[in-house]
Amino acid sequence: MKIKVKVSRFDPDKSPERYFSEYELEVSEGMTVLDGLIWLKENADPTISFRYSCRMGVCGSCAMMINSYPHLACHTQILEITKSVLVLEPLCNHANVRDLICDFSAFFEKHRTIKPHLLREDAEKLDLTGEISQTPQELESYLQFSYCIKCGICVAACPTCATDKEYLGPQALAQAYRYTQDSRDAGGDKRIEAAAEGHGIHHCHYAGACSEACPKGVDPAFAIQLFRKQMVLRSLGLKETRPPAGEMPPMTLNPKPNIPKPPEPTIK
Amino acid sequence: MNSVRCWFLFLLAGLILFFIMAAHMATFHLSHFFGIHEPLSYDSVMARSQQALFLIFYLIGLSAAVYHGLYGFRRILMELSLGRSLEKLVTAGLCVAGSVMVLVGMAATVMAFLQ
Repeated sequence: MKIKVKVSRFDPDKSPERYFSEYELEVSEGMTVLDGLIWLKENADPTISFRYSCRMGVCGSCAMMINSYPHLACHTQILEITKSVLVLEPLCNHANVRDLICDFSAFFEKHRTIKPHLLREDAEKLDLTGEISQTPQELESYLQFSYCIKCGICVAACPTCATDKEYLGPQALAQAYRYTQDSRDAGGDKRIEAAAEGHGIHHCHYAGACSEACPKGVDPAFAIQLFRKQMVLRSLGLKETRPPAGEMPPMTLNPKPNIPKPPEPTIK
Repeated sequence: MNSVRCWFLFLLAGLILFFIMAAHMATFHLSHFFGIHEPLSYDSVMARSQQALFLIFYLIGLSAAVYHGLYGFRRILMELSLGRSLEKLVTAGLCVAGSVMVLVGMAATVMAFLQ
């Protein structure tokens, strides 16, 4: 089946205006938008610019607006979307730098604001090769939110991000909850401060568009609601801050007598 | 944490308004069930205003409505990305405007109660 593909083109060095280039594409069952784009680049127009890497919904590089809705190009089959016209545009709410490519620096800057790593006062004393204990229930409480691949689709779908450029956005806020909820972390108060001030969590309008669009089922809107609940409970003194989970004691093994000893480490 | 408490107060004010608005609507539109046929007449308004229960009702309702309304309005203004200094000015201006509204409303309610 042949369909028409309209690709948004933009080259700031040549013209400040965006325009559409139209191509014809022979589509087969199971063909993804990314497959189609690669075919077009190889056979029709080598100047089309787009980002991709893993081709299997893991890296999050190929996020774009597909028929006006944010999707991962590698995760979207063309025939599930359309049988006539496929319109490809860069993600909304991100700065477009070339054709289908967006600049993610602002996105990652906001991500960094909420300190997306474990914060512990004893971090320097920890044995880096050791383990920190965590029960399956503790893991379950944040696991869903740790599946974020930072593709920026939730930000493209968010109506608040469209009107408020300084808003932290669903991705950063969901990750703020993910790390605060982690039993190995002790930086909840710092993260709450970062997420609550200015154009932070209170600017969310409860639209839920982020969760609907997320290709990994992370549900950032749910994380935002849970984070708000945690913030209120903490600010009212109704939730005690727990100490971070401790290190596991080193495992004591009794090797069987005939097993040879491992060689000495080459790096001391 | 201040912004979290302010937001929680905004939610609480909304919840209070839900019940107060229900009572307000019942007073004005369903009062004929209780034998009051002209709830907006001077005599009816004054009779209500001089009851302690209504005094408390109006004072809480007024504070909740002003806070909830102005907090929401401030949030809409903040989305315009005004810049930090202008945002502070807007917040201060709304705080002053809200305080004046609450004080004027409270003065009128208390004066009607004392008449």
